[in-house]
Amino acid sequence: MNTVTRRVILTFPPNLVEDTAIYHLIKDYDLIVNILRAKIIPKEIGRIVLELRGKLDNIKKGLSYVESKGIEVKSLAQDIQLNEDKCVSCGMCLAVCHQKALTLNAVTWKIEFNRDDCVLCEQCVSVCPLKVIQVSF
Amino acid sequence: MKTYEEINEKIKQGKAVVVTADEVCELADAEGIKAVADKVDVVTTATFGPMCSSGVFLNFGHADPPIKMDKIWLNDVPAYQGLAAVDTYLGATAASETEGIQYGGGHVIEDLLSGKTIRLEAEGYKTDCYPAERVTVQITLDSINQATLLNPRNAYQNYAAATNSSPRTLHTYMGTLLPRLGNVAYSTSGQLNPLINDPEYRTIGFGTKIFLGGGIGYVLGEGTQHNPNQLRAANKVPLSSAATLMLMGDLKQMNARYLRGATIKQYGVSLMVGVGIPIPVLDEGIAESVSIRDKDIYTTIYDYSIQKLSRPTYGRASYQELRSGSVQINGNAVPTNPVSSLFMAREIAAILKDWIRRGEFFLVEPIRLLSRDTRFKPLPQKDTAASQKDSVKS
Repeated sequence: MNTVTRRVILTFPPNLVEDTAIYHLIKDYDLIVNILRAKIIPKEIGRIVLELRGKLDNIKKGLSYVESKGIEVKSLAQDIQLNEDKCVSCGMCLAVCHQKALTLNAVTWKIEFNRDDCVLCEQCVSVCPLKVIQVSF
Repeated sequence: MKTYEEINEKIKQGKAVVVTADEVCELADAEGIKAVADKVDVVTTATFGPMCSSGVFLNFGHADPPIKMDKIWLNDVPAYQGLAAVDTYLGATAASETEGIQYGGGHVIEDLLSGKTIRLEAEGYKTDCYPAERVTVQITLDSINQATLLNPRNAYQNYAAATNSSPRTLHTYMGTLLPRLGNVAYSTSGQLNPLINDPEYRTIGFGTKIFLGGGIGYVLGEGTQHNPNQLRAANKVPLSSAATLMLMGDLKQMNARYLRGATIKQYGVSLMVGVGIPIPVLDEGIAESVSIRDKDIYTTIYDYSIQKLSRPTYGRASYQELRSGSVQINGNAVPTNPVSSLFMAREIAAILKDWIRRGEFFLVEPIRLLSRDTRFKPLPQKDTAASQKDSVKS
């Protein structure tokens, strides 16, 4: 089976922020784990943006295991939204998108958003002058 | 040589040749300037971006009992009170007194245009004419008498590009400027920019009929900070921010797609304005001006980390270079990003072209052209006034 990459957001309830789920994803499910972003504060809701690489079957099983512990798993793709109808393609967001997930199409001069390159740093959200980029965390 | 009357007659007969400022470049490349002068009647130009010096005059109609409005808020955004009883001017950059710069005059203008209900609160002082001291009502664009967009400074002829040599990120009206020359931000629609296509103001002036915010507007004359004396290249195009326009139009016939309230991070509220200006190709000189390309239009890159009126520069770049995604500064490729929309500017130029082709929009010959000798002055320094005072005494 081929190796695939998936990006997910794990949301830890306050009682599970000290859980060792990530250790088990590596050790028990043979996944390469890359933490893109994390906010973990004792006794508060914690969130980790993870990139997982491994066999698809192992990723599915690993995430089921994480969910069984009470940790919410969401696909990263669902969490950042560019409202293309309202975007005017001014280009202010490009300055802060170091991943180049937001780009200007050199033919149409329209802003394009490539979710696969986004690491949810949220810089574009506060910079967008029309507030048409939103993160639903 | 053509006249306005001849071009308007052709528009009436549906025979006028109208192209955008992008399209005219292709014709000039293929067939030359003389062909442009012979074949083309009108070239449409456009720009779309944040233009802070914008606002709207409103007349609310009288309350019963009447009030002389002495303090005015629209959705908590303060508006100017020093006019007649129920007249006001709402500036695009005025910030909400409850939400700060997250909502302001620009947003109220867009909301009015979108048909939303706006809360008007006013306080007055009691007089025999105006006994009421307070009023709170809901208004809409339809419910009020007049809403006249009047923008003191729009559609800059070229604009300086911005970078930042300091070690910290700057939040400016040119957007985010990353530390240590991390990016160059530029504005202006380049070869589509109205005044760049008429560099010596031969056709744009008082009375010119234009596309403004999706409807019809007019040029009232030079805008504030009009600077025709800016340094120019051999092709007459200024090498940085130069001339400006004061624009006016009835908000009630505009379209919210082309007037957008904006919040520029840690800077303030603004209004994104869409402007389209037709340029009649009266002779070969104008044919040459409208055929200018991005590669021949240069702007100056300024260091915004120096918080002085006179900023050091990092040389010049053409719009072709700026649009390529990076420019060379001190031997390094620095990423570029626009802050005004070429996508929307192209859309506006195409719409204006369509209006003229369909015989719905005729050209108006200006009564007076823009000044070519206005001096652009800074604010006098504090000690200048003191020394003047001294010289009067002595």
